[in-house]
Amino acid sequence: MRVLVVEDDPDLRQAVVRALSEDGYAVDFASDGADGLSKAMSWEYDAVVLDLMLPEVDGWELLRRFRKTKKTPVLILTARDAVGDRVRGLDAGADDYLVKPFALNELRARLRSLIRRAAGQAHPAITIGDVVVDTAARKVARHGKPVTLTAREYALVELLAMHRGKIVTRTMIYDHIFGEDDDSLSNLIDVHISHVRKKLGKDFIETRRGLGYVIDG
Amino acid sequence: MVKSLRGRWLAWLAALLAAVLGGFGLALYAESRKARFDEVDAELLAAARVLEGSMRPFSGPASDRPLSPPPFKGKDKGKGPPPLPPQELDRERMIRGLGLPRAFRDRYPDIEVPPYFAVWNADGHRLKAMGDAPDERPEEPNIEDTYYHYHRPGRHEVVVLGPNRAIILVGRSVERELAQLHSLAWRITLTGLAIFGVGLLGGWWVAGRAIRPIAAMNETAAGITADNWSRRMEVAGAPTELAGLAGAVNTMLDRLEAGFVQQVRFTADASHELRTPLAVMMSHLELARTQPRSAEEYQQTLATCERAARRMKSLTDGLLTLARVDSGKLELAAESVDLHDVAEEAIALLTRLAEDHRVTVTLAGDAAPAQGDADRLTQVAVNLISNAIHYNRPGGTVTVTTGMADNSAVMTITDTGVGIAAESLPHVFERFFRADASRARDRGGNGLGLAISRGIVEAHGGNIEVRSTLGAGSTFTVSVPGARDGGPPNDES
Repeated sequence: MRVLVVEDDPDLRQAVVRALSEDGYAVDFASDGADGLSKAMSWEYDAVVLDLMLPEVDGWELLRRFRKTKKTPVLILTARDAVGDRVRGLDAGADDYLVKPFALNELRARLRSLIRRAAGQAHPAITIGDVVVDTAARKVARHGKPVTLTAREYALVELLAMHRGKIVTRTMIYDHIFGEDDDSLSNLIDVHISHVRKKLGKDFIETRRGLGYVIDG
Repeated sequence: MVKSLRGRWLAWLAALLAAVLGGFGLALYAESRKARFDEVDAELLAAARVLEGSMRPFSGPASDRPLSPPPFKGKDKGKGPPPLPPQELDRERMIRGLGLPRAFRDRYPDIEVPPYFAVWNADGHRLKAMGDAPDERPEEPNIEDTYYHYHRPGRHEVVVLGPNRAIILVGRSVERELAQLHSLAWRITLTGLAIFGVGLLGGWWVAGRAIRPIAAMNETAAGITADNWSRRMEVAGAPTELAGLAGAVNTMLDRLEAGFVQQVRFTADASHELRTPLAVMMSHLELARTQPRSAEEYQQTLATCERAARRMKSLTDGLLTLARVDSGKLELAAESVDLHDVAEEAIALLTRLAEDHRVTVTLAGDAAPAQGDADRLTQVAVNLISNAIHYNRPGGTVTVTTGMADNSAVMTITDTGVGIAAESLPHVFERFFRADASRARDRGGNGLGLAISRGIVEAHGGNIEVRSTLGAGSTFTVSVPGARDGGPPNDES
């Protein structure tokens, strides 16, 4: 899952980016509204974390322009705590609103929930055959026993599970599990796929030659 | 003491009504009584004049001789005065035949106590008495006064001087008049009390009407709360006197609301400024604890948290300074200070910042001696010069000039930076005002620098001004009262 963090305070941005990266998200960031808007418009993010008080283009304006075309979930992360601000933010098209200071855990949970909902999954655990993907705990179990996956592998499984029954192209995988700073050599996807197959069964991920991959197809 | 306005008003009305009605009643009674008794006296006097007239034919010219007492008065019989001449005898007969004039009797046909009269001679002998006449001879009236009223209780009597210094008294009972006056007094009293009661009721009602706009204002005022400032006093419909008050109250409410809104915004801004460093600390600490970290990562977390804590300290220091400025409790040393030295020190402190931004800072001008707090004035200079560096463009300049002007020590800071938009210019000294929402965040500014600078300068009795052209740069001018002698530092006096 790939998220964009638009936050102008370098220290806070760093904390959020690191926390989300450690959860296996591909994280891009922007330190002002103009940069944030151009990134948000040019990539298919799974979620956007947006500060409101931004240089160049403020959060409201960014959200207004972004919502003209994009349906990506947006979580507003701001120090503006007045009820009026929250209502204005949600009415402007934001999907969630978190006030600073916040717990990273809550930010993570809200992002998971936003991404899950956007993929049409209400339940946090997705069961595919004998494999259960627990998106809340970010853990995978097979035959009821936990399977250890790397963050990247988990992200791959989650992406495919969220789109179960649909073909996920290699481009989508690039877009959603690698950040802009990742070294995204094409064969890395194959490496991750083969690792997952070893851990969750050979037939867990099917390859549709020339199209991409699919789970539970 | 009556607390309610209506009650007080009514008490005053009651006192006034009582005084007016009492005075009016007393005057009415006195006037009626006087008119009534004047009439009685006039009638009695008229009767007395008639009696005197009917006695006159018997008085000889220039006769001062007392008239003879009646011979039939028992004890004096035999040793009375010498026999009278015939003329005098006629007179005596005449006197004995005297009666009240007919007109007088006709006037009071059915009076219970009929009028009476009596005649005394100059010696004090009663010559004739009718009815309820007194036995004693009244005093002789003055010649000029010819008559006077001789009052016994319940009677009115008139005494006139008759021929040969005879004394004629005519009187009658005034019991009837007194009873009438008594009844009149009662009627006046009762009417007065009735008017008093009606007046008080009317006053109560009028007072109620008069205070109704006050009650309405009270209701309006009570309806104004921190959440709802929209209500205002009715000015158009209010009576003139209250319209002034309502207008004044409305003006006061406007000021209060502005102050309240400003206070709310200030609190929101201050909490907003505190939230970001708090969020930094909390998120970095939480991140560090999610999994074991290397010593280097922990160091980084600590460094970040320290930065955030410094930011909060700078903010709370600023807020504290502003609170002191607001309450007039900003303590300032009163030492001799030269703004030129102040600028020099500030520039030295900011050398590194200027280098980082590739901005050249130059100091020009002369000594500008003043009385003040060197540290606080340096704080102002650092604020202004660092702003001038931050909002400059790479390769730009900041020129600091000091000098004396009109007995003021003046420091101007001119930059070649981005400038300030005209609509923002009036607000730059307001707390947390930012021309650009968060450009200042990059440099850790908290939006209080200029507000604090102005507070410090004004506490010195000086002022701070700004001129700016968007895109060309800004000039801040600080002036504080100059030292009187302009002499060197160290004067302890």
